[in-house]
Amino acid sequence: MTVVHAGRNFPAAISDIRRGFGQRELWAYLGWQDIKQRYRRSVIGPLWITLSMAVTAAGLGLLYSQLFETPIGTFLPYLTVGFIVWNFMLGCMTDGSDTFISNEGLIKHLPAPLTVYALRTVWRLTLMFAHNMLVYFAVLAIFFSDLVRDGYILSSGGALQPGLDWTIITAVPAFVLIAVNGTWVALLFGIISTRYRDIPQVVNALTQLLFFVTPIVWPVDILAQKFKETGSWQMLVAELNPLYHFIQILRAPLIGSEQSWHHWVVVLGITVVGWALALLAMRNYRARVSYWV
Amino acid sequence: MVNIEVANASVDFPIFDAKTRSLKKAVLGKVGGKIGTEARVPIIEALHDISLSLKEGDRVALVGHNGAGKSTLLRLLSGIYEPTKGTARINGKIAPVFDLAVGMDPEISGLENIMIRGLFLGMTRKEMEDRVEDISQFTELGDYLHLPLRTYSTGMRVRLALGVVTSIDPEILLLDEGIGAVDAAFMAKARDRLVDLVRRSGMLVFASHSDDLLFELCDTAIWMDEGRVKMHGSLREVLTAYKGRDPFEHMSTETLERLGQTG
Repeated sequence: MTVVHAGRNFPAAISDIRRGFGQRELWAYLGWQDIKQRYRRSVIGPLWITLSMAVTAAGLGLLYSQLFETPIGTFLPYLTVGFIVWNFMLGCMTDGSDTFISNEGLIKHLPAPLTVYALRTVWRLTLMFAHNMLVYFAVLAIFFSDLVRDGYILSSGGALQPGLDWTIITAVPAFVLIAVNGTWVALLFGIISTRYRDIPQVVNALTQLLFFVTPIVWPVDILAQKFKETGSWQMLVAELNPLYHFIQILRAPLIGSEQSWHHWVVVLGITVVGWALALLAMRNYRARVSYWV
Repeated sequence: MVNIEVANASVDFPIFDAKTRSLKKAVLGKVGGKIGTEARVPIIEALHDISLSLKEGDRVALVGHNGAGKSTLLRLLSGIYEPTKGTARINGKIAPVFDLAVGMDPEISGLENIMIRGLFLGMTRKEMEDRVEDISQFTELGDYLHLPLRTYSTGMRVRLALGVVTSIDPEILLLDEGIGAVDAAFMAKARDRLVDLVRRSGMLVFASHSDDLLFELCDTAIWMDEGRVKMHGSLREVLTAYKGRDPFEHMSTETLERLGQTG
């Protein structure tokens, strides 16, 4: 049963989200179709995702470990995991902005909760993340002895890291939390972008910059080494960047580096605020999206 | 219970051109203040103050000129467009068949399209897998179902879409024009299934310019004009008023009996 009123109300927004999650088979099928279709007629198919990540990680890892004079056995895994997590978050922001625009045909022809399309995007990115994790497991196998050693360093003179241990299991809730955030990003950015078509371009422009200011290809130790004595604002470059906290909750357990609860607090705070904003956008503009696409 | 209640519903489309659709106007437009009227987005009133009440067993024809609001009304009835004013209450499992060029993915196979449509209409994967055999038989598409949809003709796409919606026992069937692209033999078969469906538990709303199809499938009609309901009554009355002549007058008694138009 569908009761449709003109106007803005929270029950309709919440019902959309609830029904959207309920249609798991639909968005799972659509997300998997996206992957299959992108690599249709290619010989190794979705393994291209894995392969391109492997090439990037190996290339950047070799180069930057030389540039920063860091031990490759720990820096390459650091960079690989950072890059994998970054790719997922990047997708949530860029593909998320395009969520409703790229589903225009379906939105106008078949009635379905909007949340289905956001989940389709997040699920596709999750599948790509899973493919990229193969690179992580390969890197882990190669550099296992470097990563389990208590007191390893990521860069010369950097902080001592505890090494891999049982805390690696916190990677699971960490990923779930990142994906939950990806969903509100897709909903919120998707709605705004459908109305204002400049937003996807703004997001694209900003993510370029964000990639370089986030500690992915450079270790955060460097900040401390360079600016600790002066205590200047540069120390905060990482801490003030929300993406750093997201990367850190997943990267730290996967490579056995120092975990800190404050990253979790920041991420949980952003989760609450983000979902509140997404709910508000859904309340006010959910019914308008089919008019705007 | 299957029914649709639409009360004083309007559908207004904002038309954003390349300029107004950007942030520039929303942000910069406010700074100047004076150009407020220019920054306003033009609106098209696609539907105006529609009130309708449809119940189980109704087989409604939608007639009207191009741009009269037939397709928009179908989208309102399917819940795709929520009314900008007024309300629409829809009780029942909806199955729409709209523009088939857009609503399907040309790069994936017929089978995958069947699955996606079915899932959208609230079926599970298991339920759809059970129905694939039936759909394949009904549509007579056979091995074509394994080929990408771009290799299909328009008529074959219609067959596929009708195969899906008639196999899943929907309660409210919404058909837009375009399903006339199938050949006469298939249409006869589809007609039986559609009529049977409506008889079992349902409602049909069908927009078309083809009188023959409307005779076969519908018994009442709505005449749309400039986004308003101009007339709502029996098929014969409405078509007579719309066309300016009685479309049934030259039919044989047998045909009239078959169409249920005697008396």
